Parts: sequence; structure tokens; C-alpha cells
Amino acid sequence: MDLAERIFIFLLGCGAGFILGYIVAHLRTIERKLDRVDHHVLHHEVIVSEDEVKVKSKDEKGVFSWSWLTFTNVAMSLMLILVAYAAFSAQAALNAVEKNTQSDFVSVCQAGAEIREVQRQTVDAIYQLATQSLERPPGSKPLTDVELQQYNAYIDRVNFFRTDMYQKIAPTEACEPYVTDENVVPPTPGFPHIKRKP
Amino acid sequence: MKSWQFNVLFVIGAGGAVVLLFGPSLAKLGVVVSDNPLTIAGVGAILTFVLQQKKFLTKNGDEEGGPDGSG
Repeated sequence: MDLAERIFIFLLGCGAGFILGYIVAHLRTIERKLDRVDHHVLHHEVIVSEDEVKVKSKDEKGVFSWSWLTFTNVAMSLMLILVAYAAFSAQAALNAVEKNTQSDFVSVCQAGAEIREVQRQTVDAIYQLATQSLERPPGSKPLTDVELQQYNAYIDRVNFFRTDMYQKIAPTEACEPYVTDENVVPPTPGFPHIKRKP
Repeated sequence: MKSWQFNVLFVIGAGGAVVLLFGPSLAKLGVVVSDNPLTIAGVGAILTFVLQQKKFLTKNGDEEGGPDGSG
């Protein structure tokens, strides 16, 4: 939420406070005036019967005229409607934003699955290149002990490289519920150690 | 409540509103202020409401509008 939005919300709050304050101030003013009238009536012992009050017209009722009460009710109703509408609008907008965010996130996760598949194919190609030269044709010269150790150590490194890369090429924890990768294990078993011929 | 007391409290409230408005923009300076819209709107509403009720809340206001009109 940037500064302009915060100022807008602040001004909205000021508007609501102004309307409420205006109504309350008006009611308090009416109360004071009524107190004055009450005080005046009590001190001058002016007694008005209920029948006389009923006969009086609306205009003679002063501040308690029907129009003012209607205005108060309408203003309060408008305020309530505005507040309720603002609450519903805000919640609806929030839900829409969350839905869009979730949809974008799922799309990103699905795009990541294709990228990971390409990465696995690349690892397989590297593995094929690294193990291609290890095949020994029949009748080839027997290896010495040192050569045998070096060959097997190299085979271990190549096998570990492929296994390790397959484990690392995986969806993040957040993406796991939304995507299922295929070919998550190496397609062939690891290259076997070279054994000395009997 | 005296008028100057009301003014002091109102200035404090207005200062809080300024912090709420501009604080979130100063995150780069290490200032951490939440930007909850309900809080911002509420502070604005309260400040405006209280400002309109000043004449009823302060002592001078009460004296001006006494029931007998003597003020």
C-alpha cells in the first residue's frame, strides 16, 4: 500500500468521522437547547398538558420536528450501508487478489516442471558422455591394480554426480502440492564397478 | 478538560496519524510501521470526530453553553 492509498484511506476515515461528529454535535446542541427550555419552563412554572402538545403542529415542535429525525435516520442508514459496502468490497477484492496470486503461483510451478525435465535430460546426456568411454571391449589389455582403483573411483564419482543431481532437481516445498514431476529417478542403474578378470 | 490539554492531546494524535501515514514509506531507513487500512481510517475518523466535539469536551465550551444560558 503506497502513500497515495494511505492518504486516501485516511481521508475516507476523516469523512466518516466528520459525518458522525456532525450528527453528534447537532444532537448535543439540541440537548442543550432542550435543557434551556426545560429550565425556563420549570422556573416560570409553565405547564402544558399532553392534549395541548398533541394538538400542536409539527413546526411548533421545534428541533424535534419529524424532518430532522428522518434526516438523522437516513444519514445513519447511509453510513451503515457505506461501511457494509466498503467491508464487502474490500473482502471481495482481497479474495480476487489471493485467487490471482494463487493461480500465478501454480503456473510458475507448472513451468518449473518443464524446466526440471530439461535439466534431467541434460544430466543424463552428461552421464552418457562420461560413461561411454568406460566400456572395455573383449580381449583388451588387463588393468593394473592402480588403474582399476582409478577407474572405479571415477565410476563412483560419475554415479554420485547423477544421483545427486536428480535429488537436487526437485520442486520446492511450496510447489510440491501443485505439481508432480515425472522421471524423478535415473532411468538406468548406476554404472557397475570394473572387476578383475579371473 | 481545559482547552490547552485538549490541544496537546490532539497534537499527539495528529502526530500519530502522521507516523501512520508516512512511516511505512520510511522502511529503507529502518522504520517499521504497519500500514493497516482500518487503523489509518480509524485514526482519521477519531481525530475528525474529536475535533468537532471540542466545544463540548473543553471546559470553555461547557461554560459557554450552560443550561441557563449564562455561560
